[in-house]
Amino acid sequence: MMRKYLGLSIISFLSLIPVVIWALMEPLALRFSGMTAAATSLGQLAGLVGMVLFSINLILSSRLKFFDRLFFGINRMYDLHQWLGAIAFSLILFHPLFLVVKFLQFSLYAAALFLLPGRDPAITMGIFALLGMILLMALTFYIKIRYNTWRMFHKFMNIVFVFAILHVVLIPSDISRSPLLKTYILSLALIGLCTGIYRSFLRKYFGRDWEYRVTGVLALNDQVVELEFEPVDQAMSFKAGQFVFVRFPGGGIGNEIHPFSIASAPGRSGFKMIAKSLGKFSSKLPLLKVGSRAVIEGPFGYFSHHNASNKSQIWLAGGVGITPFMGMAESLKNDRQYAVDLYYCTKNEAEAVLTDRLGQLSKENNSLRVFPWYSDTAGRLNGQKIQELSKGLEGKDIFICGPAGFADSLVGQLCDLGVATRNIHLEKFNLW
Amino acid sequence: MKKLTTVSLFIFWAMVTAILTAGLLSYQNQRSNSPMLAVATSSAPAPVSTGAVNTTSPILTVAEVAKHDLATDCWTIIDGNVYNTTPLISIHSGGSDAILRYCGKDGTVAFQTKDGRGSHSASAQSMLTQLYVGRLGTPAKQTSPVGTNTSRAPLAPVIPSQDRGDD
Repeated sequence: MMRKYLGLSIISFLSLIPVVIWALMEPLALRFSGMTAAATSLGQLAGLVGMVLFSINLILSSRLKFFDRLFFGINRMYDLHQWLGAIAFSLILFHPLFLVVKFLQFSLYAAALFLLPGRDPAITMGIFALLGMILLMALTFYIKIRYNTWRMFHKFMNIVFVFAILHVVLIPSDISRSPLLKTYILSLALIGLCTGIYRSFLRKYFGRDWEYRVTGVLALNDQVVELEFEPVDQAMSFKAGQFVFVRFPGGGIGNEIHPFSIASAPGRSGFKMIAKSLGKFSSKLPLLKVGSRAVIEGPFGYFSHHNASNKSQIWLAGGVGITPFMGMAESLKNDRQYAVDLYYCTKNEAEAVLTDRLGQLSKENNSLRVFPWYSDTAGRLNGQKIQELSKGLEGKDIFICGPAGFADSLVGQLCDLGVATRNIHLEKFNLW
Repeated sequence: MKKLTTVSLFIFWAMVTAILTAGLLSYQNQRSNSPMLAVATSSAPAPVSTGAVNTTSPILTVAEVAKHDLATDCWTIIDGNVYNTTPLISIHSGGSDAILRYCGKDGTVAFQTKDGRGSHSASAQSMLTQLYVGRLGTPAKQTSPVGTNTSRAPLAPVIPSQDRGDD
């Protein structure tokens, strides 16, 4: 349980270090000797911690396999990346707002001058960094653009970060007066910059990806396609329930990279993937030709029935959220100790393209019971229904995969029915 | 997290807009109330001296200034003028020591050159004018180049296009 928070603890510790160094530099009584001094101190702290979190966020964006282990899934890490980004951004916004207070006590004009770029490169770099960050965050939160376009713009965060580093280096501050603080902040910043540049621009050339070929393209209905892959050289080893990032260079559908769950069990050289037309990229997948090149990054994720304390489990799949469960259901053949109830939730029977396949798996394996659930006729699946049909929720681990609304609603209901959060395992499909 | 970002952005833009507007109005108000200031800011680089001596401000001796050498009561001589720099000690981004060192003393060179690291920003200079106490009545130790008038009017705020750095 403690290990689950190790990653977050490390980030908190790294953020606390500059605060401690700062606090030891001058007496705190002086730093907080009045409202103006307190506002100045808060401004300094906001800048320090904001810069540290910004650096850490760039480091996380490198998507190293190590982070998949540390955060129990790269998808959880991306959750954290978004939160850290929002917190760092807010701190950096408040940094000049707190610092301007000391000018306000003297004159409004002095305060206004402080907020404007001028001939001082240190302040000007800071203003450029802040404005750049505001623009990129607006693109992330408020302006709806295509995922690939957003990814391209998000790489500019590296340039914003360069301006931030220049501001930190040039401005007279606690950082410039303390060699220890300066070394710490700049080291973290340089690591962040290097990893950010590597991920954004260099990984394509130096990263370790898996070369595969598309060996099958099967339309399961007019919206869902199943792709089969075989390795060109070395096969990637993976666990059932994990996901990968895939791109198809030269496949005629663009060079975008997207995450997809692996929809088959390990044990063979290749694997399968199932995708629904949800966006511009996924709607082009049926156009792929057999023999197309596929570059795979991964595998990632900890969404696996093996990572639960109970072998008696309930799996809840919402729509295309069935994909990781396909691999997990197949792999149950090799482990009869499990007792699994799989609820496959779709709007109607036409959308439930994998019911037959799941039915077959269920026939071959007594460990698996499949409950198709059509919301058009039966209403939305809820915690009480699950409790009834599965004859209780106690002593069971519950896995949920599907759209955020589906997952969040069920988590809330299950918790209300007494299921502990440590027994609920979640994979949401709106992270990207 | 979108809520956090939205609230932070709203507060940020509200405060920045308010301060820039108020600052501009304050500057225009100062210019229309002070013809001398209008002449100075339109022609001279910072730090500005109008050359006109303010005859109503107190005249202080070096010995008088030297009595105010505590962190709780700190006066500093800059360019022949005396400033009460006590409020700056706890908020100076160059550290409190940089000011404490010159309590009761002449800090002209330190202020003008930031101990060799450049000049103070226009906003810092503007801040300092609000802390003016008086002027030196007798020639102090020569810290300015020979021939320079060491008894000048206090630093005046400069127009935004002038030199500006951090504080």
